[in-house]
Amino acid sequence: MYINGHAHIFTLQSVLSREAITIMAGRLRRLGLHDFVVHAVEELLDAQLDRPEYLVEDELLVRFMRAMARSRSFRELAGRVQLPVEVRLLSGAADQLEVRTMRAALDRLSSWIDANDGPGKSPFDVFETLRIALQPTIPRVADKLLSHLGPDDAIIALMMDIIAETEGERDRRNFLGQIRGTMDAVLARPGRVLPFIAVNPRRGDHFEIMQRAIEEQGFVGVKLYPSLGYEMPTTPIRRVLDYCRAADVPIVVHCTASGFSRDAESAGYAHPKHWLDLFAAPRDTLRVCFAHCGGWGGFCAQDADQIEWAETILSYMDEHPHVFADLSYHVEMMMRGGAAETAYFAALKQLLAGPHADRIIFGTDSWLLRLNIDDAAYWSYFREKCTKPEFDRLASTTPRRFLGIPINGEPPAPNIARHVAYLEEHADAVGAQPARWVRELSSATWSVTRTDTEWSRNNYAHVAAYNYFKSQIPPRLRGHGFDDAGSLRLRQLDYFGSGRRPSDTKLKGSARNLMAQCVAYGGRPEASYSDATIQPLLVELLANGDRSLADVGASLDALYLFGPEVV
Amino acid sequence: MRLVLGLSVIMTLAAAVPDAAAQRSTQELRIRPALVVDEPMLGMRLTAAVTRAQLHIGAYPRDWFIAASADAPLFTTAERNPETLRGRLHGGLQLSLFRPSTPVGQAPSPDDPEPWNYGYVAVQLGAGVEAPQALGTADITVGGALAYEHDQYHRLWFVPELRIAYDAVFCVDCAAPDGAGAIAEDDTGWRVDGEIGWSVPADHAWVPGALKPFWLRLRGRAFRTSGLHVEPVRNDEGLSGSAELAYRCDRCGPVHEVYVRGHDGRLPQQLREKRAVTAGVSLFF
Repeated sequence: MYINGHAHIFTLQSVLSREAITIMAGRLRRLGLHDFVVHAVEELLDAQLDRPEYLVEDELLVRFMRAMARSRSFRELAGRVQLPVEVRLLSGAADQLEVRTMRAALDRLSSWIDANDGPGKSPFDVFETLRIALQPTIPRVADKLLSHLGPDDAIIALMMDIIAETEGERDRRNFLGQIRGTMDAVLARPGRVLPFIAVNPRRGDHFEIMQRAIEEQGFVGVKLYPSLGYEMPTTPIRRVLDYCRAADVPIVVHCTASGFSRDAESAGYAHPKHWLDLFAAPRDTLRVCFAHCGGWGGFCAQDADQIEWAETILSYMDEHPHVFADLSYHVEMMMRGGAAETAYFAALKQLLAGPHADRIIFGTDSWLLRLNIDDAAYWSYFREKCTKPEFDRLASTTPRRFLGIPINGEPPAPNIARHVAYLEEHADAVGAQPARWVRELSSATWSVTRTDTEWSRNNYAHVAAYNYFKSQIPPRLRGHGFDDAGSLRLRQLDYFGSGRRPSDTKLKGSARNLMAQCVAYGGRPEASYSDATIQPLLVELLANGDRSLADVGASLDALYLFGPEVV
Repeated sequence: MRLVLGLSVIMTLAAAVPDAAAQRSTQELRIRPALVVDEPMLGMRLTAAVTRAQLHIGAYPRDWFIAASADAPLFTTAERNPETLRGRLHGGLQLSLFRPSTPVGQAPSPDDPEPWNYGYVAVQLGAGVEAPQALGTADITVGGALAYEHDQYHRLWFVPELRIAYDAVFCVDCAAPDGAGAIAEDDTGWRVDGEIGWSVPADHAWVPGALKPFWLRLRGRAFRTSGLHVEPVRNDEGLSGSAELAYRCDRCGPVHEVYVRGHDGRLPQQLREKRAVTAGVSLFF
């Protein structure tokens, strides 16, 4: 069993606020991306903030490329240098270009930027990141990260709480939605998604939310992210740590100067020195993983700014038996290669041969990692650079020890026992047979009745879409009712008729009826949507025969708030 | 005649030309190149529509709408075209014969009953123009109509779509076009005009797979005109119809159908040809 010790499965929708967009744009700028790429991301996210929509890949590509083409910095670049011809087309007629031309333009532009600006600034990588992050549901993101792993492999899913105090209702709805979506992913893939609840003391009821998540909702750990704007040595944080100590709950804390931060000052809050007074000396039993190990270049002495961070973490490992560090988002040595790469792996191997051998955890930081590299490639890279025993230690035994998952038949840690109990409570409605380690700990009978959450009986929007269309499914395609219907293409449904597109009066009629169906099921338009703005979106959706019934469900989910979502 | 030409062009353009201010979803344009089978001749049919609407959601959801549409079958030899060019600008109320399903239990479930869904009825007021392709004469109509249509092609395949209109008709340039005794005694009248149509898919369990993409479309039209005594260029009453067998192709680029179509019968305009069999493809943009 391999474990990705640092992953994120939240969707962008579940953290989106004006503040989050500002923070994300800041991170992209610090990565050195062109202004037009950052502008395109901001424009897309702004639109999602005001008018959340489920975008299939082609739509996302078109909007991303058009947004880039509209920005002043892109036009300036196009006027200043000789860009590849497909890219030049963007600056003239981006609205008329076909999707395949857009795709070619993105490839050419990315190659051009790689060649001229160096690696790590490619708009292709940004687009691929958006493609994962704008998935309609959290379980679908989880499935993307699990797709290249074995059936018993798992990910530690770290939530994020970018609280936006000025956007009260939206912020709360997002955060509770993120918790719900993470729980969905846990039950969809039992034993393979190990969730950590995000704690941000700027949220008034953070302690109660954390407590409930740990004790009732199957969360196995706590995620802290001080550079989102809170200092560590404070009373609320001490209270959280005391709780984790008492309940034997592991913590992952963001620990690098890069990543998301509210401002330059907040970035410093992640420094491990702030933990000095937080440990209960000596030999604190608290399980803490310092994410990113302070940065790639600290422990291998390749980045002077990060050395102190790494040394502090290693000193904590000397003093406390349950201090860990992970290797997530270490990409700089890959891009630099040569001496930097050699030094990195020499230092890593030295660590793995020394007293801290069982404290280093493999992690990727996906989907955020996709800004630089694909998740599977990151796994392959470390597999190739380490021996099998080294990689097994990094990605299997050490993360199991950190999490409290038994390795040699010992009892599970309390947090894992609670997690298994939560899974057992829902044993009659899981989405797959549990991973082996869960089956070894539990004698429950597991019933795989939970359908794919992209098409779920528990989702009112999906049920509304199905019930509206079910009389329009030709009898030969009705199969197993709801469960099979999600993958039907709209052109297979009765209303679509014989043409490439139904007549507009009928499309408007269908959209109108579908809206009435949503209202009858308690739906109300998301803030900033109205009947008048929803109808044309649905007309366009229903006119596209390539879209599936599940796509309609996802779109309705984005356009309407249904009973359980109303905060 | 220039007035008629002008009106035709305006209505066709209103329907066909993308309106920058309108949502794209409100426009449709189909082009159907065709070959006349019995006496080879090329043709093309252009259909287009633009709709704007004001929405009301609730039980029997409805739209107040205004729409422009055009249907222009064009042949290389205008005199041999057995059909007319038609354009219409109309507005009114379209009402869904729809009541949503409601939850039986506490929460919505896939097992809830199906919604009550029987299509749409519309009450329309509007003006139209209909002319033979040669454009020697034209009818301008002003009046009202009742229409019923549905999109339940499998479930309600036997239920026809209907439109019944009652219009004042102004026959333009109907007086003595060639000085050969065709004298318009009265170029204003009233017309009852009814249209009926079925669209029947072959997509049934018992139909072999290769035949499932076939569609049969039947259309009929009947009219009776009163008070319009321009006999040499107009018919007082008549029946016409068409049958079309189309093969739908979902992955053929802009081509979405290959079809064979037969048309026969009398239209309000006296045309030299009454019937034609055409074959062609439908292009969608």
